[in-house]
Amino acid sequence: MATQPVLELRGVRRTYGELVAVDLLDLKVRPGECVVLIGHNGSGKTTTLRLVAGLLEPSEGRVSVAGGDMAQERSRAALSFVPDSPLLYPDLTVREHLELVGLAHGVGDGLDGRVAELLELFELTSRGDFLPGQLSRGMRQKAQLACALVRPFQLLLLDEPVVGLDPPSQEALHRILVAAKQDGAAILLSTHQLAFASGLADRAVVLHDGRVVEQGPYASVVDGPEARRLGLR
Amino acid sequence: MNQDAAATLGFLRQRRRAHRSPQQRSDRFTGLYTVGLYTAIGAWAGFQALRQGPARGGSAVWLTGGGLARVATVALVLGLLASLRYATWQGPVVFTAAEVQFLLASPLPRAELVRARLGRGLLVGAAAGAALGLAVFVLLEAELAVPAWPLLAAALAGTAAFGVLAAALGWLVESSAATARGVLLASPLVLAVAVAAWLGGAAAVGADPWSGPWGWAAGPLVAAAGGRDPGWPLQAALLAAVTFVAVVAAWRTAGRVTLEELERRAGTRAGLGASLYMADPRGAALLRRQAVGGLVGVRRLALRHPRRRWLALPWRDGLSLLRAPGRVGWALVLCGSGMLAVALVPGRRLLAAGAVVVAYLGAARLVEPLRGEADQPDASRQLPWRWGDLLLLHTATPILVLTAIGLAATAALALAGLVPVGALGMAAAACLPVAAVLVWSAAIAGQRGRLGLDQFLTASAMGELAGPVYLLRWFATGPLVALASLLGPILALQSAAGRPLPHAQAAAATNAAALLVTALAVQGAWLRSRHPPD
Repeated sequence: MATQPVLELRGVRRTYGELVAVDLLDLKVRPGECVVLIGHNGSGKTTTLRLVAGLLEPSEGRVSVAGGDMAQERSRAALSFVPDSPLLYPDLTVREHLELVGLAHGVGDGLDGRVAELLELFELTSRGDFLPGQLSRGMRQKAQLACALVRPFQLLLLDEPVVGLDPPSQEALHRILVAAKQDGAAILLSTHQLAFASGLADRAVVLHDGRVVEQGPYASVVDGPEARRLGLR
Repeated sequence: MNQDAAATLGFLRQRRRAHRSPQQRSDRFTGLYTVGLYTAIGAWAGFQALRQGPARGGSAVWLTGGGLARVATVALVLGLLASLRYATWQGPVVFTAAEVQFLLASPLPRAELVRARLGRGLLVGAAAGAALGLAVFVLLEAELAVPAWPLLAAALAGTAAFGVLAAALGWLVESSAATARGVLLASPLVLAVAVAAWLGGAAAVGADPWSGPWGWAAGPLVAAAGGRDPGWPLQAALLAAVTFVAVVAAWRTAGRVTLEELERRAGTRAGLGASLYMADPRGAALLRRQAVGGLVGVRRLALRHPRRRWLALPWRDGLSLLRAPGRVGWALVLCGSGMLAVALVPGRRLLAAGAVVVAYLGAARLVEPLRGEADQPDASRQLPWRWGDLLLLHTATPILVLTAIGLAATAALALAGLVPVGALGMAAAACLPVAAVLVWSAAIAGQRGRLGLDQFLTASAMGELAGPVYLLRWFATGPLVALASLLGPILALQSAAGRPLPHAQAAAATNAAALLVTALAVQGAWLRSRHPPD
């Protein structure tokens, strides 16, 4: 029997007035699977991720994370989200952000070690006691990624995670995500950088004007007719 | 002025004038004319109304017996402090971003360009001071009926000179980061000077160097109003001398400011204009905080994280307060003032209502992390709690801090003999629930986030009368919730104050407690049911 999906979207539609941002989207992501959303700007990738994260309510359809909706604490605890622009508290240092998120998600005795490990991995150790206002955009993005990874999760959502990241940090993130996948985590990410997704993504979904125009195994979709027609390759 | 600079400024003036349509010129004139006309009519009408009102001999005696000296010196000290603090992030010389990019970056002498703007800043300072002096003249003349011309001359000249002095000192602050940092750090000291001036009364006005420019500016006014101040000519001379020195110093240092500083202020000004246009004072406050944040630096205080999950947010809020202890100081001043007012003059309902509003403002200073959460609700997605639970967890630390402030103020009032020993236990017991009501009222207002474009457009569409009422309701929600929750218990306790019978007082205390618990239950349930703002 196939494992139950961690994420399931059924007939999800989101409109802003007359604009249809996401139209009748069906999607399942299973444990240990990575799905990448690709498409032009405005194709509905970020809206889809925000719908899954519970930051937007669907106009129609249902979003289920770990078997429940995002109003349930169990579902919220299962999902970790990295938005497209870093959202950090201006009065907390990088280290305190990681401690807050880890503590809130019940990371117990190993919290300090986990925080130190992530700071080291993203080359943030020397900036651990800096406030977000003292960091460059790329550094803030690294801090946001570290916050998402410091806690346990079943589903990781990443919206354009490599924008602003230097090549070593991109490589480090790639390694972490591959390891997380092997540990059974499901990953849904949106990116324009297919080089980052290759070797990580199992499936790809091409969105255009809010609709799924093609989906399937990663390699066949990115080399497929829709990706070529839209100039995504 | 350097010829190149003068020619460039002249060219800019000419081009701007050429681009200004006759309609724009007409609108500008109409605006100035309307303000001038309404000011004159208001001053005249106010003067007549005050003159024809019932004679208030008590006020006149109080004013000439030291009251005016007190009020004037304190107002001038606070005005100067406000002006200098404003200069730490804006100030009398602010260019637009375009001027910084094109004009100041050009090979023209910066000092000349700055002086043109500084001259305007000094004039604005003089005009603002004179406007204040005019209002003071109207009030005093109506109340005291002393010879008008000497009073008018003293009121206008003193305040106008003080305005120029404030603008010149403002520039000195603006042009030096070290001075600006000093102003921010020394602000509590200046507040202490204001308190000393209030306590000193008539003695605050004198010709001594330690009277300060505020005392020198107030002296001629006090003398013209009929108070006793024989040293006023010397005070006027001292004020003129110190103003002259400050203006010369400002003029000489006009070229000292860096382009980086002017560019930062230009950027802040653009954001400030947008925030004020959108009736968004929080946006303006955040801009100010961001601008001065670089001056005072970060307090490197650490607080070891707890081990229990539910303590995560109280720990985070505690860290925030440690880094901004001024918030606790303001809460102490505001809540302490409210409690003092109620203790000094018990039984006055209007005063009690005012005290609740003032205490609410103190509590609102403590819920800044919650307001920050509402400013960017997406950030809360990193945390596992529902929005309503998150709000309640964010209020734990502010409630504890406000309770501690309440207990400290109660103890101080008891030591001063303002709280009867018999009521001490009840007053102490009330601190926690009252603090919770005040903090939750602030949370109810704060969780809505900043006044957004939607609300602003709604207000704009509602017309000239209903629109401002809509905006006013937005800002008044928190104080009104606090009033609705606390006035009942306060009135219940006040009604029992005059009755000596123990059982009547016990019944009043029970009623007050029941009302408090009901208010807390309603507020808590309402907060828990909230969703993040859009």
